[in-house]
Amino acid sequence: MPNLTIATIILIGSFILFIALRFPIAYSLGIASVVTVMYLKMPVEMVAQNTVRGINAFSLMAVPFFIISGELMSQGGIANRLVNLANAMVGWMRGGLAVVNIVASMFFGGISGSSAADTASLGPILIPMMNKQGYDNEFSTGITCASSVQGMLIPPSHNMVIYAMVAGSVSVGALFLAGLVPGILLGVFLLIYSLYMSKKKNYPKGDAFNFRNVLVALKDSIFGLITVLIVVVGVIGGFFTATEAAGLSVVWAFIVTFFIYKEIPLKKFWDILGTSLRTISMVMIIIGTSAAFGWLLAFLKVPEMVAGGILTLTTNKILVLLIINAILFVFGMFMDMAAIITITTPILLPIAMQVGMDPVHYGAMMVLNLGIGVLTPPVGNTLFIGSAISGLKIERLAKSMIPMYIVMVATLMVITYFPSVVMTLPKLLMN
Amino acid sequence: MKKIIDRTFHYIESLCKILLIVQIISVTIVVIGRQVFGRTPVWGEELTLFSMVWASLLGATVLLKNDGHIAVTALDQYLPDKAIKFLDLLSYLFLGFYAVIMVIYGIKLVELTGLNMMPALKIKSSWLYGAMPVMAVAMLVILSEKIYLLLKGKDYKL
Amino acid sequence: DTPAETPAETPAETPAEGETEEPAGEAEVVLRYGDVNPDGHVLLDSAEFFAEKVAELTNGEVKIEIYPSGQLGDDNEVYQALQMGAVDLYRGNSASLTDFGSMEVTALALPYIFRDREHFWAVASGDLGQSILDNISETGSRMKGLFYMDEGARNFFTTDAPVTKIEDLANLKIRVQNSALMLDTISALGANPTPIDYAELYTSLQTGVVDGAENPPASYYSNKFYEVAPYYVLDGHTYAPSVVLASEITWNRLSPEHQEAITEAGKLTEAYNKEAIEAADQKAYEDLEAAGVEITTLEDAEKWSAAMDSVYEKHGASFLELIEEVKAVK
Ligand code: NA
Ligand code: NA
Repeated sequence: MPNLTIATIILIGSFILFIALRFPIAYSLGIASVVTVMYLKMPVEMVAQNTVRGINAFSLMAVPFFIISGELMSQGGIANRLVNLANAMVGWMRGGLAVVNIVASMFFGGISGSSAADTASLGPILIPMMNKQGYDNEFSTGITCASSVQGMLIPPSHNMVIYAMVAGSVSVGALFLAGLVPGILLGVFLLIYSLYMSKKKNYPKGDAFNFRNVLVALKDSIFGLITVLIVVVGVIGGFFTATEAAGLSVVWAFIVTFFIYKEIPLKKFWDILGTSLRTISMVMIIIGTSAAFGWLLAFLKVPEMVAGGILTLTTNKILVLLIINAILFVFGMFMDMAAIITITTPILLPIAMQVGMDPVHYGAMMVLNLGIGVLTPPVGNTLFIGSAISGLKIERLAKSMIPMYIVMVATLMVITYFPSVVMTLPKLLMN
Repeated sequence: MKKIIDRTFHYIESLCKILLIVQIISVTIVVIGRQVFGRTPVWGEELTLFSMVWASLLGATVLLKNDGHIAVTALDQYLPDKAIKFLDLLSYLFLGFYAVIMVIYGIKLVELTGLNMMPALKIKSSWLYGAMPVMAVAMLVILSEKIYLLLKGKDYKL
Repeated sequence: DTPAETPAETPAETPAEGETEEPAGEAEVVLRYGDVNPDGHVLLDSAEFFAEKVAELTNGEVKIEIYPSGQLGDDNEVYQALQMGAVDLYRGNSASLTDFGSMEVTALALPYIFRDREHFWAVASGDLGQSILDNISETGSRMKGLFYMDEGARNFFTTDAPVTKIEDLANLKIRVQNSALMLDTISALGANPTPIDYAELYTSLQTGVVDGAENPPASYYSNKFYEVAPYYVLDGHTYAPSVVLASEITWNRLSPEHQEAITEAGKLTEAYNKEAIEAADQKAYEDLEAAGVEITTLEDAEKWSAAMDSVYEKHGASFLELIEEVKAVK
């Protein structure tokens, strides 16, 4: 019988080796899975099957839509107008566009529930805009990616729902409320950092505040604002699900771009689809092959093995939570978020509960932790999208984001060790 | 030969774009069906996901042609051209190995998934999983061209 | 493949702690058993009982390793994994097996085919139940049916008003699994079937995308759907029993002694599961009442089953004889 420990070493070892040899990450995951399955003498079909099933997931359906609608908004004139509006409102501050970026994600990301979708749709608008005003490409891209993580915490959030399903007796309503304060807190921390950086680097102020300019910009951007309204009102009012709202935002953005604003000809839509396709397949193929890789990790009981040692190491609450965060962080570096939630929750949640953590609190902590994970190499979907939009190399972007990682980890620590930050709202409103 | 390959991949890319349009239309019909006619078309979700799988996997081959996939190339600037060429060749060979395996076992998977149906679209699941071997065949075509050009000392970044 | 229920249609009360004790000594055969539900769920308790019995009856030669929480995938994905031999055992469901053509076991998911729990178990533990299990491999599905488990009857729950008569359901948007049988059942009752992913159900109820849905009591409680849809009607429209399946590839590799021990352990597990689900249902009802849920019963039960004629015509056509046999069991 093949040795499972050796299989684990083959799986993880060969993946790291392939990455080091500069193989594309998607195929490094795939080849490592194939080699491991062959060693285990298991049917190799399962690698193919799991790759397809990784993509064939309801929770991912919104991603292509937000990528396309973001591309439409950024090329068709909607984005310019929305950013003009935001600029008229807060552009007069030093670092105004960075503030706009963060606040935009607070609302827009809250709707999409996915940091990848948020970066994909706001990035193409805000990154070039910021660069044009004189911000560093690294800072513009980094702050776009980092602020997009708010969307996973601020309700509605698909990842919270997935967690609630896996964890069992956790109220989705309570989880949604639990994410709200941490989401805003993350935004505030990033805001402070941005204002500090703007001062230090002397990033530009816009024109002085003028209320008439705000009105003009508002009138000009009203059709674009409706795109956002479709999502907000549509979802909160119960007309459609978040995924459907994503689909309709494409339809609306299409109508506004080609039949109202008419800045670009209809045939340009074909090119926009091409640009979107690149981002979509770049992200989706990694999600697919990492599903096969993740299936093998679960099969080899790697998450259990890793977590099993924790409680023998220590039962100190502070240390246990630190270790759990570290484990989630490492998994977040390599795997897709939904896969990590389904694989690690059954193992790590009971440990957290044993040291007295509420499962609702754990949900908020985990989502933020994995939210940092989607920004880190070697596997980080949001980082990839940011890199694809800005043209910055992954490693260069990641390196420039180190201060932002520190800000995010600081937020994570506050959320981990001060339960009241997370739990006050759900406790207040759910009882 | 190059012309045929280029044209084929141009068509593949167009097909992927059409699949993206199918996704948008099918979700729109679901919402209109529910809001206006009070009926949710049951095939909506399945068709959307079906198109997403095919668009993503075929789109990945277009991306491979353009060397657009994400890799950690941090050290490239410190490596001599020869070393980069060698590592590219190595990567193409390993990707070729993966593609060959995915053709063989992807076809087995297609046979196996012929045993069950997609309930809403009422077609065999083989049609969904068929995306895998098709992707692998397209990968092999691209990789052969790249390896050929690389060994001939020509520009293989297509 | 089809949008199976993600990740757990019937999640647990609380996540359990730790793993079961491993029997001493090295097992000759290790079998991997999957379920979409988390540890602590009745179905997982039953699976652990099954694993213990198998170990006992084979002197520790066969070890069952349980993978909860859909770690190996959900229904349709794991059926495929069973067919290729990548997974050995799986707790499947008669309703989700409908995509494999006319398997007799799928008839057990027909609405109102069982009068009550006693009726279901009378069928399941008799000769008829065995021949339905045997039919799973006879259809060429490459899976072998081992034994049954009981998940509890599925009932409707609604957001705005209690349901006691069939008219109360008229034109309500009811979330269902995306299966032709369930869609037709809901339509036949006069409501609008709305296939929505299970993960989106809570918010969809909350925001009014749908007016109701259907679940066994334990899932309705543990997912807190009662927070947003506090009316629960005990109509028991479908029983859709679980069936534990083995990969035919795995099964044919086992020695006759091991096969026999596993079959025997399955019988013992059925008995264990019957008691466990009764207790779990009872507890769920108590919890629901404590949570202030309005639980109603049907005033016109005969109208509900009469409405099913069209469903039986379409989905029961290939099982007419079997349906009569099932209904005839006392
Ligand atoms: Na942003
Ligand atoms: Na990552």
